Amino acid sequence: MECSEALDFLYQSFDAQLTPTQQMLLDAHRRTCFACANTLTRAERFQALLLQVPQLAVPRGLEDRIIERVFAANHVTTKRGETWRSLVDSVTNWRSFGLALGTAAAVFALILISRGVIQQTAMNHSQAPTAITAAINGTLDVAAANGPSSPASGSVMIQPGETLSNSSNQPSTIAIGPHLAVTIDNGTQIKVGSVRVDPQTGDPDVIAVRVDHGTVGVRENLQKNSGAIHVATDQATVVPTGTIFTVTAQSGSTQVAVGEGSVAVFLPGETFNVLAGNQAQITADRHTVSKLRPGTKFAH
Amino acid sequence: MLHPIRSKKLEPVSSGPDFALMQRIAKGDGDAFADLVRRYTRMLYNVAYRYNAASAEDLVQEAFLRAFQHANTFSGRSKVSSWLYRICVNVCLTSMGRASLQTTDIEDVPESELTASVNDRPETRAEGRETYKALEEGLALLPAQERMVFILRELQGLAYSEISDVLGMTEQAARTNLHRAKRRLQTWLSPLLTS
Repeated sequence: MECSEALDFLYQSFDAQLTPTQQMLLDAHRRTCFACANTLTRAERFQALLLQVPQLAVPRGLEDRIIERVFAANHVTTKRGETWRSLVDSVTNWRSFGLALGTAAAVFALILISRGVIQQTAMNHSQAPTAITAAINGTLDVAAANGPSSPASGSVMIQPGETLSNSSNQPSTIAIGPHLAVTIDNGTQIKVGSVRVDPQTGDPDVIAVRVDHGTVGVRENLQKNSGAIHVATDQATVVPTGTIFTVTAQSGSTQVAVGEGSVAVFLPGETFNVLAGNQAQITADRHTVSKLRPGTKFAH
Repeated sequence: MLHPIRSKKLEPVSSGPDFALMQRIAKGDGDAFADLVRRYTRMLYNVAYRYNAASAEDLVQEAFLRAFQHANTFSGRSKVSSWLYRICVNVCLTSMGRASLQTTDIEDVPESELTASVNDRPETRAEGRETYKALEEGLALLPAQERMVFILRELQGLAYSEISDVLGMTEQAARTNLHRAKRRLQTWLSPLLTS
């Protein structure tokens, strides 16, 4: 038997396609050809590796985005009487509105995509504030809307409308729920947007923050029922799909760097994904995606 | 050159809830379509991601858009999953054509390039997750048809008969493509498989 034929036989054996005679020939060749024995061993390891390749989970919100796009393109109405076209239009309009106000850094807003329904909400106090309990590792200055700031550490209550800033010389990490941690770099200021809490678990269902300036790192272990964080800047809203990433807001631009998983970036009229190992640079009129610079650090 | 696939083969008549779902979708039932999306997004996402990770979401969205718009052409002669696979494969292949993306055969990668990127080579990678990453990189270097056969057979577990239907090739051609793909990938991953 030729060596190349032996490898063909081996692949066929993985498909249970070999006759007993062919199997005997393969086994005999393997015993007498040292080079082939090694190759065949590697082939078996490769086959074993393939059996362990995991099925990928669907990125959070993808099904909703598919339905949204298809319904919008075809003017489909569901039984609930919601015309998806009108919902999408309103979101688009809201995005433009939000961008304009966001540029002035006066108002921030976010899109909630949850449980099959696109909702829109602005930071306009139309909902009762919902507080969440978080644990701060380090020190942050916490200020209520239009109120003075005070240093906070350890276990704290965080409410919509509050501003969190890190004036220390070390990053501070906020643990929010069992699957989500946010690291705020020194010199960074964020505002807490809307917060929705799962009434059954008490964990945050959706939390939105806006980065006024500086860098925020997010480590989220995606669980089917875990909450989502939406990080907004003047240019974009970043929604993780089970990932580690940082968002840096600078004057006129936003940088998103992704360490694990991927994030969906929402821009007015456009959505794109940034995969692990890549970074996006976003300005008002364009965005570029490139490989991460070596040594880029992420939240731990 | 790659061409969109057209099924040449008739399969047993589809039945059960999936077929009923397709009939409702063909009449414009949005709720039925939402059910279809929730049932099959993961399946299509896995194919699209392994084929072209950077565009996976767009590819799946486009596949479902076409499925909705052509639901009335679903005759029930194949399984709904096969029909969706076929649409997704067509979207993947045609999107690559539109973007004029070059696929490079592993064996055509210049030695100098491999040497220059030694830090990215499989032998420098840790095991576990890095192995999967190396596998994905090797997969991206395969010719499109071999890559798709490999994805459908080894990662999605389709039978050769179903691959034959989805890709519009004979079962023997599917086997040949698969063996070629596995040989190339095994060569690519050889350092990791030796340890």
